[in-house]
Amino acid sequence: MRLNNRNIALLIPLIIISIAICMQLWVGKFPLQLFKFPVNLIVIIQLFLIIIASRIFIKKNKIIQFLSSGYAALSSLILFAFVVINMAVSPQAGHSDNIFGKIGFSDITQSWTYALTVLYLLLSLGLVTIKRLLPLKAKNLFFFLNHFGLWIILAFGNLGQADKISILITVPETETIWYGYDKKNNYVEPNFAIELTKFTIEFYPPKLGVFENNGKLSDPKTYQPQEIISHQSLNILNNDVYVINLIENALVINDSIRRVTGLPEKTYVAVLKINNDTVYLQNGTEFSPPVIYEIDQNYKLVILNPEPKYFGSEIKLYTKSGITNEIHKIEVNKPLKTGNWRVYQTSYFKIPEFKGYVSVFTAVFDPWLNATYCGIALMFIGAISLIFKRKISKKEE
Amino acid sequence: MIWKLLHIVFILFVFFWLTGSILLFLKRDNRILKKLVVFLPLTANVLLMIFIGLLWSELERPPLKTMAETRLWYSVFVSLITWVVFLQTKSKALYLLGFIMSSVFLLVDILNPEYQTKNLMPALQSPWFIPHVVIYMISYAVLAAACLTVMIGFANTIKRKSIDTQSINLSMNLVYPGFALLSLGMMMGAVWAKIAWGDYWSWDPKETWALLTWIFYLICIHLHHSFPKKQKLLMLLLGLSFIVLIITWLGIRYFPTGLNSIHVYG
Repeated sequence: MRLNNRNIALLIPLIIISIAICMQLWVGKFPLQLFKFPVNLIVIIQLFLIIIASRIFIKKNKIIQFLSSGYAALSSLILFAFVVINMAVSPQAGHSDNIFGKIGFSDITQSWTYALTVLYLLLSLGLVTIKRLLPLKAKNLFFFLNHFGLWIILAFGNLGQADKISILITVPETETIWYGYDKKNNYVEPNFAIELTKFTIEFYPPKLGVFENNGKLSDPKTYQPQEIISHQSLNILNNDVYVINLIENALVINDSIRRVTGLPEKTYVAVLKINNDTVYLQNGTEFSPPVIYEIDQNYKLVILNPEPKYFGSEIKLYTKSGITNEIHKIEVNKPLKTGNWRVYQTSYFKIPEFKGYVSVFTAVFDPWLNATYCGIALMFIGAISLIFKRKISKKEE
Repeated sequence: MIWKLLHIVFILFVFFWLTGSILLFLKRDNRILKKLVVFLPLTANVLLMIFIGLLWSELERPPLKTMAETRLWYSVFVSLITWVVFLQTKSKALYLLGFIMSSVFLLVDILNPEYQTKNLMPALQSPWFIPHVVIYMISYAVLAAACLTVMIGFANTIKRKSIDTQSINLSMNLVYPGFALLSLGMMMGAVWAKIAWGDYWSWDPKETWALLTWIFYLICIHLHHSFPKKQKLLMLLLGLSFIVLIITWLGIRYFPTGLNSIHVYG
């Protein structure tokens, strides 16, 4: 086989996959933890300098010429597509004892295959970027923004993961918590503590739904769930239904309605008149069973559990620099920044013995976020320029 | 409910486009007929946009939450973009294919309606929601027009026994902005995900497939740029890329990896 550019482009991905599989079998998953700061920064700077030096001093070298060519661009992209296809079609179950697991394909982002593919992409992308940097023209500038932006995202987005910490902090109302657990359930103490002073939740109004015998919600063509509004007439599967009343924080006990407080979940009782019969319905929670109405042999009428409209926490933050009485609000889509940490409102739950809510936060330490955002910003401008790219003219055809 | 009006909107949409298509293929040189060919599809689009507007008003939230709602936007954009390309190229085949594609997606909506709800989960209550989804839908529609164009090119290539370079170039003229919008949609999604969940990329099945679509179109662009003579390969790859795009949008739930995606709403 002649070693021309086309054959090299085909051969390199095969060599990378072979080396990666050998490394995976020999040392296990890729040791990303070795690339914590300052190692990751040193590696990125070194890679950057190597790319520039190669372009300046050995640009006529065949390897450098190949890596700066369209062949390498396509070859590295196809290899990357192979890695992503693997993730797209086979569940990433983490470590597994089958052959896929042993060669790292069941947890491919932690594998040598992924690491070496990203390295190949960085080399090719870096050399092509530098090659097109000169002469300074608008066309080349937009090319630079697209390619260098992607280079920054790949470099900092991947090697920056070594320093990233993401923990779940679970805080019951009125309590103060200073620790959390990461995805591997390791105990982690960030440099702050959270006191949950208040948790607020609002729900959308509950709806009347119809379940089929198989336990599934009825087909949307058969019936669309409708909001329960007092004094409203509805037609549900050819049955006349009139909503007499909807009562919040209530339960049906011994065929009568009792108002209750301090329940762990939102409960509703709907008083309905269905074909002249008075019927009580109750939504089901983890702590109280649903009360349903059998419309006929095939369908059952139920109150669907209300969906949250809003939830957020009011907290006090205790940091090493001191205690402040300032109340911070954390909501979904509105995280709180404290130093290099960002605290996100993730979810909430209730426990039977406890009157208040328990708020779940995700705290993320990601010191390389701004660098990655920088890459995204460059690519963003580059992408806008691509929309207005000069069209292929008839002359060129 | 406004959704029930979709049957009527669909019938009118098809009527306008179909009449336009019949007039297009009539071999009569009449100025009024030519104007009707241009304006009937536009009327169909305006009608569909009014329907989306009414739905938005009824739901009190942007109708971009469920698959059925995104298909409505897709039909509008495919119809609109193929119409604009028709005005530039006068391609009768593209006119017809654009009409068929947008009508098929509307028909799917009629046959498979989803639950209509005003409820919008807190994570979707974000200023990024509308630009992220709308830009993706426009991008998908532009890339659909690129795929239809390359299909016409493929048919012409077989018929003429020589490569239809004009169609490929037209297709690539659509792929560049389509890919740019795909990139913008993906980056907006990443920034939004960071704000909502703390991770700009979490290898969620939808994200993985979106990245795969992006890589496939990136390969098309690099193949076209670096190896302009590989046109047959480019045609095949453009078709394949569009299949990957459709799987990303509508098909991931059929893969074992797609069952736990956070991108399943409604």
